[in-house]
Amino acid sequence: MHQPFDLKGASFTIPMLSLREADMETIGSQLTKKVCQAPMFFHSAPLVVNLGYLPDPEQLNLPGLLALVREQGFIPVGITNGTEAQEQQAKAMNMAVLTTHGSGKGQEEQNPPSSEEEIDKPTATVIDEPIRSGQRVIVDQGDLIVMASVGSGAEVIAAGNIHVYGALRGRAFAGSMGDSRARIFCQHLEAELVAVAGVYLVNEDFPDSLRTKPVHICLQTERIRINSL
Amino acid sequence: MTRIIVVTSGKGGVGKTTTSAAFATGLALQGYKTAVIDFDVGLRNLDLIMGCERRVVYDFVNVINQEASLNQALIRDKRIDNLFILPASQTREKEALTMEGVETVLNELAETFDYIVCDSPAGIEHGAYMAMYFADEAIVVTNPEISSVRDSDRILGLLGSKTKRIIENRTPVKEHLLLTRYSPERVKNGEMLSVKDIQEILSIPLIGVIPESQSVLTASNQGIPIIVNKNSKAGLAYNDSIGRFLGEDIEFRFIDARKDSIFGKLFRGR
Amino acid sequence: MGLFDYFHASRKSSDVAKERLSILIARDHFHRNQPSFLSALQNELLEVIKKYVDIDQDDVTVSLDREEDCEILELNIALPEKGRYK
Repeated sequence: MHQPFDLKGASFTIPMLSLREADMETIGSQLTKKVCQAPMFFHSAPLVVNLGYLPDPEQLNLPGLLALVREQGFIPVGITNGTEAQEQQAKAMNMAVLTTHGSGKGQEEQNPPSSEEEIDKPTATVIDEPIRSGQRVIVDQGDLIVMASVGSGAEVIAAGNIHVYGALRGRAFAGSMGDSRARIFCQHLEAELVAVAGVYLVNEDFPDSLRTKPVHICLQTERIRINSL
Repeated sequence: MTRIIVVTSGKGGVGKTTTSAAFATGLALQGYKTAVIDFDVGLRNLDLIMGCERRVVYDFVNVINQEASLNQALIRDKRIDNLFILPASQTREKEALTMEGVETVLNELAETFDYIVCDSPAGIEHGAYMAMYFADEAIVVTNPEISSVRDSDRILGLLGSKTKRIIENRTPVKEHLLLTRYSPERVKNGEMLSVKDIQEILSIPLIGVIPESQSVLTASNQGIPIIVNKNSKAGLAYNDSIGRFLGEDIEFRFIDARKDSIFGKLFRGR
Repeated sequence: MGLFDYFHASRKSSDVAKERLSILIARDHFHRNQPSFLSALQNELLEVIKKYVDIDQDDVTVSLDREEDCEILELNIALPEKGRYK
């Protein structure tokens, strides 16, 4: 079918004006000097204004600044690293708000996790979706509960017990940190491999009577033992 | 002297894994100690075709990352004593195959194996590049179909420029053309590119023509390499290819449409 | 049988395939052989930049585009974040 257009991402190199102070006159005269060095280069050039280095961002007169750069022949297209108020202001003037990664002002730490939250460690991770071939779910603390099936070629790994309420067709590693009391429970055993605390058993060595059956798997005298549920 | 064979094609679904399994099994049946390695990290299938998927514990990436020894990861074939399979990892990234890692594994295998068959992933990305880089010989698997022929040509370009042998100024990788899914009847009716057409375009020596056959699917369903099936044309054609690979002069069969009519039989008798 | 079919009926699809392939592959070879200096250029650039800045192979990309009568050589060098300058 004929597409009227393509909508794709593209990256362009756009000059960025990073302000270090808010005084219009200083900015204006310095900018004029700069533009005089290469008038053709800057003529009608798009420009992004970076507000991230301003010591006191509130002092800047954003509409005044935009008028100033337009006077110099630039086409301002957006701002970056502004305050929330400046972003609102920019949007009202049909300016884009650009977000950068790494350049400009370093993003402030987003709510460092409080030590209190860490005390309430989850004891089990619950997954509702099926785990498909090639996917790997690793739980460093506590149990893993899968409410669906674990596909062939998928891996589930938990420090504690593993419960699979669908078919277990992939690989399951319980007690991954060495807990030999960890167990694996599943509704339908077709696993490629099961392991508890590093001791494993491959599918081929499963007792035939327990294949496709609901089972629980544990470690007994250093060997994997599969029991019917 | 160990020979490293890459089975490659560029295009997917043309029969690389089937061919890798057939070649590895065929060479092992001839008495050579052979290892077959799955380079398709993230989409492993060789274990299924070789029928050993229920015995996989460690894989190629585990060995590269030194999480397991090569001996722990190699799976000995149930039917043939001197045949070993090194499966790919299903849960890792392709980039896990580092150049140094692959080289170390191949060098260790070379100490005891006669042949190492590298089953390349489709495409011309990292995995395919790693599979071909160290090769001494290449089996280029091609379907009689334009996109497959073009992709094979692309792969031949890479074999001729991006392999260790080329970079070290040694004799280039020995290339062999293997046509799969060939249908003499359709060629006769002018619906399919012929062996001659394809050979003319790719201009590398032909090592085998595998006829389109239901038995290939049956074999993969059962996890038994097709080459073991002596009642299948595809199996026999793979067997012939092994013979040619080892230097025998074997006439091509299954490349002409069947002469079923009475006249056909009469004329054939002459 | 329509007029169109009349003219084309004698042409087998395998012949069409062979003809298309021959043209295609000739063209592929042309393109493949074109910008062989690009990777060398990329490596040399990388070596020079590496003297001053800590960058990886992937941070330098070089490409050559052709548009009718002009060629565009594009160099793209991604510099690392602050702190990795030598």
